[in-house]
Amino acid sequence: MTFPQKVASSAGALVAIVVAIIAVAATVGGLVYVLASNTSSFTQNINAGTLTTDIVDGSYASVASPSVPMSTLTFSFSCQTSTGSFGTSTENIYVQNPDGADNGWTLSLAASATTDLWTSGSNTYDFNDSSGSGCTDGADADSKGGQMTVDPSGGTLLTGQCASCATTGISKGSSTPFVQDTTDSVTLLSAAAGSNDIGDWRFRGVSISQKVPGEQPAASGYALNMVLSVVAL
Amino acid sequence: MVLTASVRRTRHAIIGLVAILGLVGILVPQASQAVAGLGARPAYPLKNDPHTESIFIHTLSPGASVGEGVNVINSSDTDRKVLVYATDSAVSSDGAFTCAQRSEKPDSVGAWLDFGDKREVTVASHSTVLVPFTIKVPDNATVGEHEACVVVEESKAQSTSAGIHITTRSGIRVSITVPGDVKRSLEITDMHIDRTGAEPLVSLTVTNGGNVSEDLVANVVTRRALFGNGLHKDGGQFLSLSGEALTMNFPIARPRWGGWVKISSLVEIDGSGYTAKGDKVTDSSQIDRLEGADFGEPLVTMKPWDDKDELALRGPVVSMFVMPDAVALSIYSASLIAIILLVALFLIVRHYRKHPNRKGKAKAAKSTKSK
Repeated sequence: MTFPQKVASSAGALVAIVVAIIAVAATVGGLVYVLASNTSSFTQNINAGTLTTDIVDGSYASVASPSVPMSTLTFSFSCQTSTGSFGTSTENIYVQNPDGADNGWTLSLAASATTDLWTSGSNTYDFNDSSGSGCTDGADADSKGGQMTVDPSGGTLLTGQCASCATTGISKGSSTPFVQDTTDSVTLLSAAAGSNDIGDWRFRGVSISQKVPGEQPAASGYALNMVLSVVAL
Repeated sequence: MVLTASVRRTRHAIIGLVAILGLVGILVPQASQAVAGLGARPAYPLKNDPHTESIFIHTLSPGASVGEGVNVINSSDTDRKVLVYATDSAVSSDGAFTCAQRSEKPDSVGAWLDFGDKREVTVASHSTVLVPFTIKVPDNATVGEHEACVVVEESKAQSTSAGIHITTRSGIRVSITVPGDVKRSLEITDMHIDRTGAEPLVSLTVTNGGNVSEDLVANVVTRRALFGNGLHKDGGQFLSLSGEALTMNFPIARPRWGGWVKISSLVEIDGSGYTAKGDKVTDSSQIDRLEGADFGEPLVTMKPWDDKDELALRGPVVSMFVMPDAVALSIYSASLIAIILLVALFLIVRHYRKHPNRKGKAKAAKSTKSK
């Protein structure tokens, strides 16, 4: 190859490279030129949360089938009392208010129906009959005695995962027995309007005591369905 | 130490693997400890009333209706089947607002809400479903405030184990005011120490005799009985429902050293709409003086009132003896024992000073006898 040919070949290669660069730049630059704006805006949506209640374990994971076991009794001809504790370190009563309720809230416990009974097969006894101090059947439609008392006053209220919320403005309910058509719901916690609008709390140690009538048939698996409700005010 | 090439390659591979695993550990999002968040919010809050972001509030004449909606929000990681329904309002213990159970068919204000056929919805994880409903006020609705609930509850099978089976649900208060002759009346009807539970509580009851609810501020002040110096103040803003008695419970303030204390109460409300009578307070300085008012004042009934200033009711004063805490009790006991010992020592020393030769005389008498 002669010198001029070499120069021409190198120049050609150089031109090709430059053209390629320009082409790429034009393409990308052109896209940029077409699409670029003076400012780029970033958007982020944060949806508001809702007031909720749940039963959670120590890691704040929801407990699939929460229940409150009561102390075991032995058959007796006399009325006796079984006890339980609603809210433990493995099944915390949990309330979360991520700015869902700004004027306070209440947390209460009630049976799923006022006519419900503790049931194991065909064996039943009541939870809201006040007759005979809860040991005998009263004037209600069923023929069963038995009464449950719920006492939140001795429970322990703790904050949850929040960074700076407090238990200020949240009061515990007083010890209350269920009485059909008079007291069908027991207040566990009342949060005043001044309580934290953003916060979460754990509540443990709500004492439950249940009067069991004398001669109640022995059976395993007596169960009662109850509903824990949190309501925004 | 000289490493062979294969050893070097193996070492590099291990280092690389560890680095990759570490990187994966950083980059892969950790599973969040998300609580099963299932709840609801009003779908159409009013800009001029922030309270409507939390609850439903309407003023509707008899026969009027309005379209509404509730956003059911699932912030958990799984899809959820949810029941959405209206209930009548209910009163829980201590006069707190709650919602009737799903098993109770609404026959009061809950029946004003109509969800049509949409009672069960499936809400995908981390998503929201809007459930519309209408509120229709009956033609014969009475003047005043009426309450109901919108409730969301997960539809799932109950546990079969022994004991109490718990279902959880969230409710939103629905407040509907039928305009007309609004009557407001509040009365402090009781204040006492409730000792029925595990912990004693100051229990203050306010009865709302009007036809609208009241947002009241209740404060309970504990002072030393002897000098009246303040020890503790507790309170807050509470909702008093029309026609209901609200009981507010406050923990007892326990001064370290114990002693007799007097507990007084003050309830404050917006006075507009009341007409004059009874013991009233019209400025904050009077409220301060009332908190230190004479003990043993009778209950005050606040009748309808025409003063537009803020209104305050003062309740009775309750006295009680508070035990000192464990540390103070130990100090008291130790002091008492020390005092007793000092007194005993003083008496012994005084006795021997008065009769210094008693021992010597007794010895002498003994030795004379033995001789």
